[in-house]
Amino acid sequence: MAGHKIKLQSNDGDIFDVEVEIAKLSITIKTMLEDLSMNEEEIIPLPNINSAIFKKVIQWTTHHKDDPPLPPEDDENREKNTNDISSWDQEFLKVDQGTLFELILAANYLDIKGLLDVTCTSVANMIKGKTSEEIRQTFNIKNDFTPQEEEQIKKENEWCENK
Amino acid sequence: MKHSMIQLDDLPDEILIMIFKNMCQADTVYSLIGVNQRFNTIVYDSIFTNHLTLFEHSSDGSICSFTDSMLEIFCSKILPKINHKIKYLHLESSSMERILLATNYPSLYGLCLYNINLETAKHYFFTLSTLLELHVSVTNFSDCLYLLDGRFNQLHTFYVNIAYTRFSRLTINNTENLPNLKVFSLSCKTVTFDFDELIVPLLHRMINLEELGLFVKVRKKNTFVDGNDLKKNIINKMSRLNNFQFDIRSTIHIFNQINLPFNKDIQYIFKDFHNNLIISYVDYFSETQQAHCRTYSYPYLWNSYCEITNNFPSGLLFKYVLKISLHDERPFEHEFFLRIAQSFPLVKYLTLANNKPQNDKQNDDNKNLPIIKYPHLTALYLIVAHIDYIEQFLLHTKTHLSNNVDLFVVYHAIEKVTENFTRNTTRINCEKLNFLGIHGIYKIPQYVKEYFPNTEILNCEFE
Repeated sequence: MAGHKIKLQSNDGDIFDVEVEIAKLSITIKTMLEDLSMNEEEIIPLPNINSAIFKKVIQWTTHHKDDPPLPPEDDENREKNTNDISSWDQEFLKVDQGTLFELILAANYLDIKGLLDVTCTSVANMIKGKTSEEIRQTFNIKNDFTPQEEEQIKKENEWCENK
Repeated sequence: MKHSMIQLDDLPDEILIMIFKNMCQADTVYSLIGVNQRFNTIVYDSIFTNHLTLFEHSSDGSICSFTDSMLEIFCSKILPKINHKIKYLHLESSSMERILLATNYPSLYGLCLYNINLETAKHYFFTLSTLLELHVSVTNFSDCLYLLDGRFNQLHTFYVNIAYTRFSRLTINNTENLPNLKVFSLSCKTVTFDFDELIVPLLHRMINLEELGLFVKVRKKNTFVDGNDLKKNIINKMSRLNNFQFDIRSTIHIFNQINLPFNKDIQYIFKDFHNNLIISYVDYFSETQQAHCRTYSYPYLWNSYCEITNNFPSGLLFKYVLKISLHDERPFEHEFFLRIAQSFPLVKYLTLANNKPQNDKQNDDNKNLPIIKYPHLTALYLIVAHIDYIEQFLLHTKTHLSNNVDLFVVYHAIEKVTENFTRNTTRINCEKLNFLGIHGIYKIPQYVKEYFPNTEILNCEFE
């Protein structure tokens, strides 16, 4: 029903009126409404998502509401083209790393495949081509190898550099 | 928005795996092995280490080696740690030696070799005697025989692209039967004069073959390689064969027309093969006194389809074909191009050779005919095309070219089609061109550059 709205509540208490058709892009919400027969007047809680992230999710789903359905996942034939992010999505994903990771978690929880795909692709593009040391710097990851393991890695690196 | 504190390393394993699956395996192991213990555990899994492509594709589709520093990291740090996980490797010639000698590969069963010089490569094959699957491009037919001389005697799948079906000086010691080989595919884009003498005897050694692919151009004296020929010389000799994909184009010199088997007879020959429709047709070329017989299995699995004529059957779909060439002694009309665009929706490279003017040429308005689209076309070769075909592709009332097409033409032909670079009905498509390769002029005049404002123009002949 076009224009009909439901109420969704983020984990910090904000309530959002969202068009049913847009909300149903989330398989999690669609399942709640259809299979669990939740009353559309009820407020549906989203315990894993804060209001800032949920606003971004609504922004993305509103823009993509008329997209054709995605083909089923096929790992064998999956095209490993990590550059295929539309210009709108590229603009949408110009956010800090933390927000990007929260969007991934939200897309996963809400089961919105298109958003999950594009956010994962965006992170993959940030990883591609970097060395392990550059990955640690870019993503603020602690090196937890033991001194012996670290010494071994250093030796290997020196061997590479001296070749 | 308040900045979130969550970091990459805070994401659960299932999400990290989802992210990493967006990269090819070589990119994943290159960047993530050695970051920390958790990433190592995830990336060491066989889903990221079993199938590695250790080279890059450049933007024009050609293959190039990794940089020296990347190769060093792979050979010294990564491959020795994951060698037992690697089941399949794709390698190119200049880095193959380093990679094969970097470690041993006890689980390797498949190898894809690109641009390989067999003389060099054969020194490393002793490390790979347990291979089960090999994909390789070689220069000569002898190279193919060399690889099947028993050195890979466990091989069950062998795909070979041969540049020329002629012999080299390579000594072949063993031409025994190949009972372990179950799947074989041979592709050769140049003409072979020795189909019966070279290719057929090789196939007869594969006594237990179950799947066969043949993509060849054959030149014979008197008879075509038609359905009966395939039945008699190949199918009847291979009792286990249950899948036969082929595209065989045979050419003979003609003085008189020949009686060919009817299409339904050819279909009957292939009745025991699943999912295969056989397409077969003959073109007669009176100017060169030649006849071409095209016989292929459908669906068509190869990525190129050459020498398409007006006899090309309508209503077929070639969803893997990226490269086509069109050639005939009779003119190609608008309806023909419509059929081509519909049958080859993904075509990227199109070459046209036809010097006959169109009979049914429309004026600039062309209101009665549908506009033809080639949405994926990136290169259009019209060097030996009559100017009607250059017009066919450049008039926006006939053809909608997408952006980024490279066009190759003779200067005087495009000068005439564009009415000395002033014609409005060719301007829209010309403005979309990415590159214009012009033959037949030394210096490109300024007004030509102005007619193609978004196009890099080069004199191809004098490069």
